[in-house]
Amino acid sequence: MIEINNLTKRFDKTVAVDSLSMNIDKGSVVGLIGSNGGGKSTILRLLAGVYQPDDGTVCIDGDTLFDNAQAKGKCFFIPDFPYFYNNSTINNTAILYKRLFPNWSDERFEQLCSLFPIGRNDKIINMSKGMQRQAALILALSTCPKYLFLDEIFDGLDPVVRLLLKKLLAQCVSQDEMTVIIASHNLRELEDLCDRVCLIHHGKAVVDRDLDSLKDSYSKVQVAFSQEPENENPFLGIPVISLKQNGNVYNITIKGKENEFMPQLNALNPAFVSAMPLTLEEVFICEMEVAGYDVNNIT
Amino acid sequence: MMSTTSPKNKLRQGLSVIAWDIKSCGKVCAVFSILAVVSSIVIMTICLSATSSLYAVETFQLISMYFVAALAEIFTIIYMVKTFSYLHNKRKADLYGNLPIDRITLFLSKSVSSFLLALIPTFFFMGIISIISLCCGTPLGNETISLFIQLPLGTLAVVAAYGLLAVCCGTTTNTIVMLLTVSISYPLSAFFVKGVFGAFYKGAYTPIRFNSFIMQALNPFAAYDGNFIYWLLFSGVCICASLLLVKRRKAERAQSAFAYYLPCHIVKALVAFLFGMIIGTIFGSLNVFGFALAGFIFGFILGGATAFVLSHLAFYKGFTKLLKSSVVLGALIIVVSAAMTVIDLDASGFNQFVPMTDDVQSAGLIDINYTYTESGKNIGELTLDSVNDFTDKDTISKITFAHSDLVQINKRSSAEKYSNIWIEMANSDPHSFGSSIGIAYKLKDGSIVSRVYSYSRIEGLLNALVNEDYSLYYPYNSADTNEIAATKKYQEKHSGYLNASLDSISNIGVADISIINQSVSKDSYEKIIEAIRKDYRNDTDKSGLLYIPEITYSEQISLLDSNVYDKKIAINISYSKRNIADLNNSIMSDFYNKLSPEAETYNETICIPPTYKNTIKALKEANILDKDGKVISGENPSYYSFIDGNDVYSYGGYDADSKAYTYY
Repeated sequence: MIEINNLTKRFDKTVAVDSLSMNIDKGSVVGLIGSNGGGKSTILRLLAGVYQPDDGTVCIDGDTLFDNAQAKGKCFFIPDFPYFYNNSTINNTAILYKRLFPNWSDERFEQLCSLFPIGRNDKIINMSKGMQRQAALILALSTCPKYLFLDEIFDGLDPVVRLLLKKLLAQCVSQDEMTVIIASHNLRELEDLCDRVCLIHHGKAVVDRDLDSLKDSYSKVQVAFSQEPENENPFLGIPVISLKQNGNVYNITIKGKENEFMPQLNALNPAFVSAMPLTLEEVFICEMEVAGYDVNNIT
Repeated sequence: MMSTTSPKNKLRQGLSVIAWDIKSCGKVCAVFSILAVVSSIVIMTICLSATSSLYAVETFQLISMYFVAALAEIFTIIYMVKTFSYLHNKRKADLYGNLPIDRITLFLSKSVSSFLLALIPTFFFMGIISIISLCCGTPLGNETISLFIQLPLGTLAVVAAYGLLAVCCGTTTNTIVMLLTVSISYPLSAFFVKGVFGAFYKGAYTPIRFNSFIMQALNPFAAYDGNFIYWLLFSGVCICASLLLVKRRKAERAQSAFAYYLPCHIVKALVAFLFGMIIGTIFGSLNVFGFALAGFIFGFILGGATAFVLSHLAFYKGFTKLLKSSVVLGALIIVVSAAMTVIDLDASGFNQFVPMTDDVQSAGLIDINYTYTESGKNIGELTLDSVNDFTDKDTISKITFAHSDLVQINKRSSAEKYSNIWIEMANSDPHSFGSSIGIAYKLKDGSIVSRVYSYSRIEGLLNALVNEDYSLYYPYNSADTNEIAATKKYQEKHSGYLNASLDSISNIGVADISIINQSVSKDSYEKIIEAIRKDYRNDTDKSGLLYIPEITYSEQISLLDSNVYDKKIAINISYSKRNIADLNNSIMSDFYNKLSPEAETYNETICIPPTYKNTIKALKEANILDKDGKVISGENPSYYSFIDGNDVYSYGGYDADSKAYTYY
């Protein structure tokens, strides 16, 4: 279990992570989403023990992670730009990791090498971006981490490898109770993978909820009226987040569950009403608008 | 909560990182190997074809060893840059920060990697060169053997210093620039301090020399040929400081200018000091504003501030934090200006002080050119040791008189003193002294005052040429100093013939009016020296014996010319070296010894009267004198001179076949 208490990280005057607190259960997949510079990568580095917190604590299974070799042996962090030496190949890097990571599995290494379509003796720096990520993934998963931290991992991966990655992660989570935390702007992929989403903005968790309940809490509703409503704001009392009007047809985004707002909408006698769940991307945009990160506010 | 890793696991992790680093530096090692092999072959070829066969292998051994060692020094920097870059490259920081290894173990492993990468290939090639030399029948020379000790020490110091700077810096460029800057600017700054001290406090003695560790204390490259204990301590301190700092270092400091600012302030202050001193000394010696001190301070501020700002720009790539760090510059200017004002105005009256004869209880004088010692003490210590030598008023008066002369000779205008800084900087080695005279007093109030005046050969030569007065070449030796050096008391304490051990005698030559210089067999040294000392003890008058210490050969001949007519026998004794600490521990001494071991020889001549029966008997027994007491021409004298009236003819290079000497 990961326990984050009042975690704060500053870079000179910039507060990258601001009093963040959350608990992440074993075997869950958490997506960190948020604005650029919001603090997602910093949170991952704090979780992986690369950075030392300025305030607060990060504990993994009760152990602080920073400069703690034993605790780090249970984790693996793939940064957004993984580093490889000029002469690094998957095979020779595996030798180093095998000596350092206590849970290294040769069997899994062989299995992963056969699954990903890249050469194990090729120099990694000569590979494409996507292949370098695959190399990093092979090495990471071979260490059999209990906690895996991935930063923009889908970047550069082709759809087939993305699918393979998602399958592998799902397998690790279900079989080994691996906890995965992924920071990404690729919300479509996160939607498939995560069971919990944390929306980070200005170093704070704006939203931290189960993906399903998050998606349930918003609805995209199309409402058509036979006549233009007399009232200038016909949806008064309904938690409308955004509204677009095209004649008598309204496209609105409502915060709340369908069974909560539908009676109110039906009371307006619409000619047509249809509610649909939001995609994660749409939820993200809505929440960011609430947090003041609106495209109209960005100058 | 923090779980701990067992020492065994730490060792395993450390070894894994070392193995990984060595593997990742394989290509650099290959380049080193190629260069080492090719250069050794080139050196061997040149040595075999250009040098006489007798010394070919020896020359090859020495040159190739030094070349490989120099190559290793350059490659050490490359290895260090590669291995410690994990502290400066953000992506590498991610990689290493993620590994399950604690930061101290990681840093130590990286340091060991650099050390081994620098040493293993070097020792491998030096080993091969040694084997080739041994196979060719040439044993390893002392120089070569000492390289096997110096190289690990030098590498250790450089790796430790670089490691500390790497921890403190945020970028590799800053680390390299810092290392090079501190290695160059510290010794030069130390030279300036010494130069100022020497120029403004003539008579103050300091045992600090060209190669003293304090002159190179922050230059780790000096460890390749330096004080073993100091550099071992230096390395230890650097490693401990690095471990302490690396534990607290923030990973996000990678690619910032610095993680810790103190070394940056020190280096900037050093650079500012150095350039300030250069411009200040130029302005001071030019007597800018008609007031040398004001000129110096103006120049110091100008040079120091410029260097400070430029070094700040180099380290920070901009003006960030310039204003804040200018406090260091301000403090430096205030301290140096205040110190130079006190020094320039001779606030303590050090330079003018000569005690009144009546105030002196006892006094002593040391003329370095007339001194032999077995004690290994330096000139300052010998001077202090002599403080009780003379208690009679007449001699004390002579010493104070000689001292007053020296004070007058060294009286300089302020601007001249600033000019002399350059000369004093070059005058860091006793071998560059034309003369050196030490004076010590025990005053009646119990206090002890001592001065050592050293006159640089460069300054003497310049003064002699400019003024066309060649007495200025040795201006310190006066009739008074010579008279004191000729006293029996001085001889008993400082002459070689009464104090030297037999081991240190390298040659004894004997001369009279007809035949000059006949080398005595080593077997007879003991008997002859014992006889001289016995005769000296029995000689109550001692006026017949003439003592002529360290003088040039031509002077010796002319002295003999004037003294051997009264049937005296001249005995010239050469000593392999005087154990005066300053002379032995000097860079020129090392150089002279390497060039020619005979260069360090100290000579003295004693002209013994016919009353020295034991000595004459010993010389006869050694077949040096015939039954009439005349010198017998030997089979192979080292050199031969013949005096005809006032003319001296010298011969050398005895040819055994023709039994003749080459005239020169």
